Amino acid sequence: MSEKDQVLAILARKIHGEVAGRIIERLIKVGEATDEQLSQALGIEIGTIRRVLNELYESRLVKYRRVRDEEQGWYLYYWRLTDEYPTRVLEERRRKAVEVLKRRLEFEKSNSFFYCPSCGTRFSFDEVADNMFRCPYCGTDLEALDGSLVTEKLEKAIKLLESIKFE
Amino acid sequence: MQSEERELKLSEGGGEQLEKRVLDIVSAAGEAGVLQRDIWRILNIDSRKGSKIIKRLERMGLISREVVVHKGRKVYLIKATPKLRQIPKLPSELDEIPCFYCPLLPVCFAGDLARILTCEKLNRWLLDSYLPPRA
Repeated sequence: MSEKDQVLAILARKIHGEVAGRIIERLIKVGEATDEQLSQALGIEIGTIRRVLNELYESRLVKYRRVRDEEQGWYLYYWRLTDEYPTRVLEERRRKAVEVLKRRLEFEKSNSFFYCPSCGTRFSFDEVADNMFRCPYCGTDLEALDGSLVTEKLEKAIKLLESIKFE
Repeated sequence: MQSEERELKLSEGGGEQLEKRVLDIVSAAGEAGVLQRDIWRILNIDSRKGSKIIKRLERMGLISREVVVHKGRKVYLIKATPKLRQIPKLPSELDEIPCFYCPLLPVCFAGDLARILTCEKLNRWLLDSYLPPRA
């Protein structure tokens, strides 16, 4: 295991928390382990280990190999680090984050918004047009909201993400 | 998207982590590089399977392949590119963007717009600073 894999431990910790970071560090050390082995080695309850392993799998930071226990008939899962190169994992996350923010930006740009000065809730045009532009919760007259600050914030974040070089 | 999924399946290689092992071998060889056929020998794979992996890693810009003459025969020498030698960095600016480190990013990416619109974390980041104070 190379030093590059350490990036995966940092990433796992930032996304899924301390236990995730410790699991990845353990997998870097031993290569492959079952949930029970991880639980014993790290002194963490097995339910937590299983939950975090599933989260790490969703984020494509770990993979597993499934082996059938011939005697007992159930499956054993051997977990290991992802085979993907860390840069690729980061690029993939960047691509997904950009896509999510762009979809949000598209929505913000194609709608106008109103807010309730009394309860502070924000509404889109479609949500309040039928209600004569009154707050559906407290009946206060709604005021138009300038959406440019939100779109600018999103555009800035998208631009920043697109400009980052991971290598 | 589809072709990427196909590629990823290929990369699993029956759980043998072949790509990763090739990268480890190439990295360890340093500046001198390693002969392609030596990689096959170390990993005990045939050239058909190995060539696919090498081509894929070359496309990703992680390794370079050059023809050299070794003992009178033309062979491929595989070297690590600067991209492979470098350790990826996590720039601190990423901390300011709520989605990048969010555990639910894959779910939002695969889900519908309603999910993105109702995300509490994203809404707080976007709206809290600019919504006028309550009367």
